[in-house]
Amino acid sequence: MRIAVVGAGGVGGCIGGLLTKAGNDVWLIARGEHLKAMQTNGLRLVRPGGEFTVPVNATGDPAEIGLVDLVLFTVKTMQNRQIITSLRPLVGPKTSVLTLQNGVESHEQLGAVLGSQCVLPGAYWASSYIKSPGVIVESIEARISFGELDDAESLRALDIRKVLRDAGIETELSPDPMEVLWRKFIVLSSAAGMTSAAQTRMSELLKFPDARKMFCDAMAEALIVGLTRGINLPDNLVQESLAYMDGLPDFQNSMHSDYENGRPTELDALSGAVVRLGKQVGVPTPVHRFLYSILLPHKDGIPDPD
Amino acid sequence: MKIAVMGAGGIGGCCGSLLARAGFDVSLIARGSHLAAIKEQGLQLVQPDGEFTADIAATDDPSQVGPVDLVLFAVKGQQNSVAIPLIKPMVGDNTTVLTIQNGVESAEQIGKEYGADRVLPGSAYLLSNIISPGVIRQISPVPRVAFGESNGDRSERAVAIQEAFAKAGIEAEISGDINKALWSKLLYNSPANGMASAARLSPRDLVEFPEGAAMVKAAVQEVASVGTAYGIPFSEEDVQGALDLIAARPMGARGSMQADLEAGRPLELEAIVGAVGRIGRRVNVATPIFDMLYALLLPHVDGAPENH
Repeated sequence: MRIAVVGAGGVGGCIGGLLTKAGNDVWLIARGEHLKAMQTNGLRLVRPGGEFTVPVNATGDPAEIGLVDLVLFTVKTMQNRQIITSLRPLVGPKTSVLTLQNGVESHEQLGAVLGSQCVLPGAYWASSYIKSPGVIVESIEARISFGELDDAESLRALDIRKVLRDAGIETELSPDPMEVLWRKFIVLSSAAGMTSAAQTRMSELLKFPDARKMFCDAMAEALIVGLTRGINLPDNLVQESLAYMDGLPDFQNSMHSDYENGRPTELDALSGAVVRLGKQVGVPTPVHRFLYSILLPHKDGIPDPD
Repeated sequence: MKIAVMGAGGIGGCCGSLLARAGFDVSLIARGSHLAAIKEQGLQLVQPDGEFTADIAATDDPSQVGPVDLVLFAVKGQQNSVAIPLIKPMVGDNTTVLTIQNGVESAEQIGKEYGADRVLPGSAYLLSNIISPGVIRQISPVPRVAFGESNGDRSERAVAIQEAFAKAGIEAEISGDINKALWSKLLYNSPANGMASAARLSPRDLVEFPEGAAMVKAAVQEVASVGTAYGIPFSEEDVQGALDLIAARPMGARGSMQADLEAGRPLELEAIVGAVGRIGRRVNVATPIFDMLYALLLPHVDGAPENH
């Protein structure tokens, strides 16, 4: 399959490397030092089960690639405004765009520019990051869940699942991808907001009863926003998600890492989206509004001195 | 007047230096490298318009000081469980303990140990910090303290302390309603310091954002509601006054707790943030913002957590 991975960072780089190794015709779109390193030395993936280096096609310009069968959209959400329009040269009538971005609005933003029929919403669970230019470390192994918005087990979805599975990526086809996205969104928006504001990782925060309660309150209000918007979500999601977080090994979510390092954050797609989507349906979101108000000043990062 | 200053940090060190320079018999109770530096080369106070080094007795052992006329109690609130029993050798029959700690619970905590009549509640309005062992920087042009008898009387001892402070160049006000004064400080200090700590941004910079300003205002209103239910009535004008004070701070000027947080030092979280929720629960007033601030900052209360 001819594939373009837009955003070859922690998530995209990892998937792109595995898809390349499995023999697909893959193009990675990246920038700066990371791009140069991949063009020169290939991409090095360090995973829990071992590590390898693979030569990759990498470019900074989507127009250089031409039409593809599949676009994997894995840039950080704050880049959407600039990047989505640059994807047009990749997308023809038979192209599928699978977005694995955080939040619940990505497929709509892509659909508005590229046509909603080509977009498949998906979610990605893992912990991976660029360790140095050309080197990606994955500490929790990737799992993908995606699907068609209209509930069909389409041929293209089955094809995409096969390609991902053949590359060794645990992939599930969901009949209701919006449920999947919201499940992740509810946990992640709450965890990312709290860990950033507390400057403390989840494994440490969850030792404190006050923080556990606040985490549950944050998830509960995001859950009500989802339910009010007609998303099919289980009532016990908060308890289930808390148990899930308690069971995870120690790791740092990407927004916390971005915040700590003075980089732009995905605040608008996470707590900002909870507040915005809640407001549209009249659901108050005091916890996320609070988190948003204190994290907002750092949303665009601390400008580089040079 | 024989004076002991319990806690030679920004506030205690500044007041202690000024009182010693004015000729009072001052002993500082300090610890660690700061104490060692003071013993060796005196305590240097860097003021906005000059600097001097006070030759001042310093020790970590209050029994070497013995009973004094005045204990100026200026340690950080989180040290109270250790510091309050520690001053015992300095507290005699005629000793007054003037506390200028943050928060509204300090006099009550000290009074439990030594009797409420020995304690004068007070408050410091002074930006000042330790910049290196033995060196204190006073940022506010004129140090100011307010204190008073809980019943509002203008007592002899209060007047004597006021005169001593005035002689040292510390503006001292005897308050007719010291509890209201303490709560009035809490009204702006807790929201400013708490929100700034969580936002990692100075209070003034935070309120430049409409969302930040709205949340700071809601936090001030929370303190006002708790105070009002507790018997310290606050009006809409009081709330606006607190917000004006925060808006008038210089850009970039961090609160004391925010500075401690950024340096990985222990936090005065209980006195500044915890107190609002704690007293709120006593008087049945919900404090959702202060509960969240407390939850987010608690992992840092003893200094930076291992894993952050």
